Amino acid sequence: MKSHRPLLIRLSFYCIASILMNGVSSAAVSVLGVMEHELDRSVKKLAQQPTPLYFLSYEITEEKSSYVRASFGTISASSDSERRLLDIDLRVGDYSLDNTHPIRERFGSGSRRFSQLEIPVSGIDALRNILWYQTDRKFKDAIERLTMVKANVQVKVKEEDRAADFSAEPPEQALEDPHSLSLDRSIWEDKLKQYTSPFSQSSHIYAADAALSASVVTRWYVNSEGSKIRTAESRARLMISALTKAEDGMELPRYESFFSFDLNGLPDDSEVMEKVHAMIRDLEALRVAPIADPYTGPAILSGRASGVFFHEILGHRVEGHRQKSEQDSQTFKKMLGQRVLPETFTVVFDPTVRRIGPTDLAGSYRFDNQGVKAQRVAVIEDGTLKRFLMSRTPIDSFSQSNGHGRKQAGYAPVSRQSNLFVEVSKPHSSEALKAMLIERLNAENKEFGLFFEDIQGGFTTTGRMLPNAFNVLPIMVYRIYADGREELVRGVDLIGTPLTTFSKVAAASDQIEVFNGTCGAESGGVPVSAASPAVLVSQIEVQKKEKSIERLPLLPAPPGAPHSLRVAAEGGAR
Amino acid sequence: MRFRMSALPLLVLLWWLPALAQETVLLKAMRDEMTRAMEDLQLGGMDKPYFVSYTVLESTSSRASAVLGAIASRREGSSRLLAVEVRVGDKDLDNTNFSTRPDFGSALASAAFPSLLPLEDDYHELRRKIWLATDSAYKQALDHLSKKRAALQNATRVEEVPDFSEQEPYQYSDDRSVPRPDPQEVETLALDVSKAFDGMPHVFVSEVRAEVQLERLTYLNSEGSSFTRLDPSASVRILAGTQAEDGTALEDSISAYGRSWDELPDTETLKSRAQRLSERLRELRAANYLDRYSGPVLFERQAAAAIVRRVLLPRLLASKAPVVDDPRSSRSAGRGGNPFFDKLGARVLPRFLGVVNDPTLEQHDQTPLLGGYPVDDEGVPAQKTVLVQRGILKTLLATRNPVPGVPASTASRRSAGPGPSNVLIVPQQGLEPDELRSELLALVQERDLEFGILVRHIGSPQGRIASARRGPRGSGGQGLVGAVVAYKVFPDGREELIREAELVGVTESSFRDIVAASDDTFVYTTTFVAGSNSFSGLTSLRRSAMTSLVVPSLLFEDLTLRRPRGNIPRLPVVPHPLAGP
Repeated sequence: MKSHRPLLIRLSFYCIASILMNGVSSAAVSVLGVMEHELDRSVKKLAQQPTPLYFLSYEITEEKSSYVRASFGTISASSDSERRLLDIDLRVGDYSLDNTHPIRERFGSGSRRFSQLEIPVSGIDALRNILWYQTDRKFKDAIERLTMVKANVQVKVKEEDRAADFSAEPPEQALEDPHSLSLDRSIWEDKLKQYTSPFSQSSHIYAADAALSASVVTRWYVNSEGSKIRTAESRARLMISALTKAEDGMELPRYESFFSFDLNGLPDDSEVMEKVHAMIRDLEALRVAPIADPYTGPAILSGRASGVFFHEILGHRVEGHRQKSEQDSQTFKKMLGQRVLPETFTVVFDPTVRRIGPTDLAGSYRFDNQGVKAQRVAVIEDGTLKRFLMSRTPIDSFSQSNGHGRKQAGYAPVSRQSNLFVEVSKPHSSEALKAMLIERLNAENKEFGLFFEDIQGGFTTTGRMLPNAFNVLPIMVYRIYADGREELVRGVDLIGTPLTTFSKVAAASDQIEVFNGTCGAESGGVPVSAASPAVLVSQIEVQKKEKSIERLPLLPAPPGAPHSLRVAAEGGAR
Repeated sequence: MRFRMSALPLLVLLWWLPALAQETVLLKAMRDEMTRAMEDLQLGGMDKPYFVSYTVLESTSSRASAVLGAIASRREGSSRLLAVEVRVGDKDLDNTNFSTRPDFGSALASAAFPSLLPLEDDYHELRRKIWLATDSAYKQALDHLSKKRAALQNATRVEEVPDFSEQEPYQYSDDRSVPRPDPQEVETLALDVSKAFDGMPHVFVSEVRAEVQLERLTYLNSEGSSFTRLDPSASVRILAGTQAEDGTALEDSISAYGRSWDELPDTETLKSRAQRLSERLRELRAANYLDRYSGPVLFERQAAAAIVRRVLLPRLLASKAPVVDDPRSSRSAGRGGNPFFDKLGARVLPRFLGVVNDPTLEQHDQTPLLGGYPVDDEGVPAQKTVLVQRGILKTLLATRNPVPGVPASTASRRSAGPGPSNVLIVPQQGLEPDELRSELLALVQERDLEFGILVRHIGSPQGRIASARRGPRGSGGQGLVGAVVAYKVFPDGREELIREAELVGVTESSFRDIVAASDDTFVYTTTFVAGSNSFSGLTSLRRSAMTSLVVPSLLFEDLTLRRPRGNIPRLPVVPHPLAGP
């Protein structure tokens, strides 16, 4: 028996090699070939076990990235990395009830654990070895879990949502050309030094960083339904951040970020430097701006602010799987066909749109992480809720995916947002919107309203345990007085509850702005975007921001730093 | 050896970090900020700092891991980290040795973490970072001192031990240049060695990790001590895992260390070690179990050194429990108190054994020792310390943070706390290896046992493959030592391998009952992570350091081995992909 072994190994290796030869080109195809071969081998055996496998998919995500970071004109980090992560979705049971079914307990559903599996970045034998070994582990875990699932379904009350655990989807095949990453490190190091050195002119700015990350992400996906996909994509992001501190200890950050699918698509130096100087001016102004008090009244959200606002209060609540979870408050589940926004508003999620005007959209993709083709999903049409964002987890009202099953490598996919578009049929000019706000101030006899110009992000809770609220974190907030005057203030967050706030959305401008960002939820961080006009909300609420209790530095900044305005640094006194 | 051919040109071309002919920009920035801190830093009428130290760790590393001849991951990086120690109060009672809830409230330099310094020698930017870090450290020190005073207000301190010991200032500077190895070399080595597992489907998972690291530590304190020390290191670790014929998970690993890339064994040697590892797993897969055994156990060479490292060594360190302000956490802080604190002057080993810690040694019988250093991380010059003499515990390894009975530093600060350097266990009347074996069999006969136990290898607790299936195994709980390669030894001299055994109830007191030791010693190098951030109340650059042990084979009179507890996983359903179609 021993003597046979080397021969057999060689045979199976040639078998793989021939698959590669037939493939279109390059080593990238071989990865798919090996994945397909190992998938077939496992499916054949495991589908004949007493608890048979009914679905298996492999996804390999390769990320090659370069990172450069500078602080106050000096390089603080510079690195390259390359890694591949493997995700296996292995299901036993059948489409209606399988091992991924949530196990209901008092606190949480205890499913979907995170497991990040780093695998070799090259090599056929190593890849086969790891696919085999990990599939075996997953299979055993799956059998164990299916037994627990069946017991849980029997002992607990009937579930409210009786939809199946998994949807069958048509197989997809696609093979995109590989991308390569070429970053001229010295050019970018110089650029980042240039972008961050002006911050040292102000002795009130305690942190100033610029970071460039450029990456190429290649994904290989195969499943037992016959899907076979390779996608490749480049991404570049430039992020500039700076921080000052008010005398009361409040830390005041300012961010600028630029996103493009192409390194050359990032803005040129003069455009960036203009933003840098604006950041310095804003920080100096913020540091001495008055603190805003808790307030309720009318407000205008800039396009970027309302993009985040819609992402938090609407987007997370139309993610399909949340309508199924009995821990989730399911705000919109029973509101299909009902009016939730003014008739002039339509909200669409569309991952197939790559750019809007000059701006690339970070939430674009061709296939989601479950091998389903990306699709345009109009969630709200003319103010009426029409559908949800769907992964391959069906819910009572929708049985198929609409290409929004997304995740970060290492997590199990759930329905997530892509590119959000707020479309308005009867927009107003920015001036008209401001005039409408002032009109309301006069009618309500208010001294001022608020204008949220820039935000850093936001968050929301959709569970039942905690109040179902959202929080948008603004950076630049202005009071707009009845006479039209504007005054910068600091120290407030925009808060509210979804249904009430939605009923107060009144009008929108004709200027679309884009917010590109990363959204974090149970399936990890995924790139998303939100494009929206500025929106007038008849009533919002702000609360005081969390604040640092640290004093300003006791000693002045060290002397001699170029362009330093030393006198002003003495304890930050005015 | 392997390196010489290709590396010679590199020696000329690539120098890591410039030679230190005069004071570096970094040291100047540190000194200038320290002067300001000592002279001017004061909040209102509160205490000024009485001691400030800056430690800057510059490191450049290349690491690669490989699986079956393919690169699994690679990483190269450089970093420059600053840790600031500010003490307020006085040496008898200061802000250290105090544990409170950490405060992460600030996005600016947080005193709880080291600061990232720029990689470039930009004097102004270095000073700016040091300024902010010193400011946070000082504010935290004031906060901790007042909380500590409050916590002690209603208590009478039973043990009046100062918080900081006196030390003469000392300067040291190592201005050698160390050649930086080509990252390609690191990858190639990992790749080549990982091929040793080709065509061995009985090994389910395997991995080879290679790493070379160059560290430079620059230290300055307000008492006048300063040093620049180079800590180069290189390592290779070979890991493999499988399941026995009944499903039991089996894992093993071997490591090799050196001061530089050239000191590592060459590829062929490592490959043959990997093959031996693979053979050992093959034998273990088919070996028989031992249900339970109590009786004499002989630890040979590596196994003896590993049991000393795992059980005895942590007891020889003087790390004390801090004052806590929250009574709920006082129990956990006090737990794990070192029983050796009460054993100073008592017998902890048999009379024929002594223990010495000596960072000044470079080799032992021509074998290099890698745990040495000229000066410790607090600027205390290296010195030899006799820890155990004729079985009696004399002292413990201490930093400038004294414990009862150990008033001064033994130059043992290694990163965040006290750590071993080169630890030598010297037998007074050692036996020849054959005599030691006869001694084991004599004890077996005396106890009327069928066989005795010989332990040849103990796996390293870090030697784990992250993705490997966890089997039933001693997880390092109280006195449990897993991953043991042990043999039954019968009175007729026959040996029989045991599949998986764990040692139960081995504690520091077991070492008193050592009945014999060999006259030859084994040099075992491993890594050690000293200290714990949460206990010292100070920021430190916690990292692993190398330690070398020189240990004879040891015969214990009475230990217990047993089959690991827990259920056994099933074997894979689908055959190994490389085992045939």
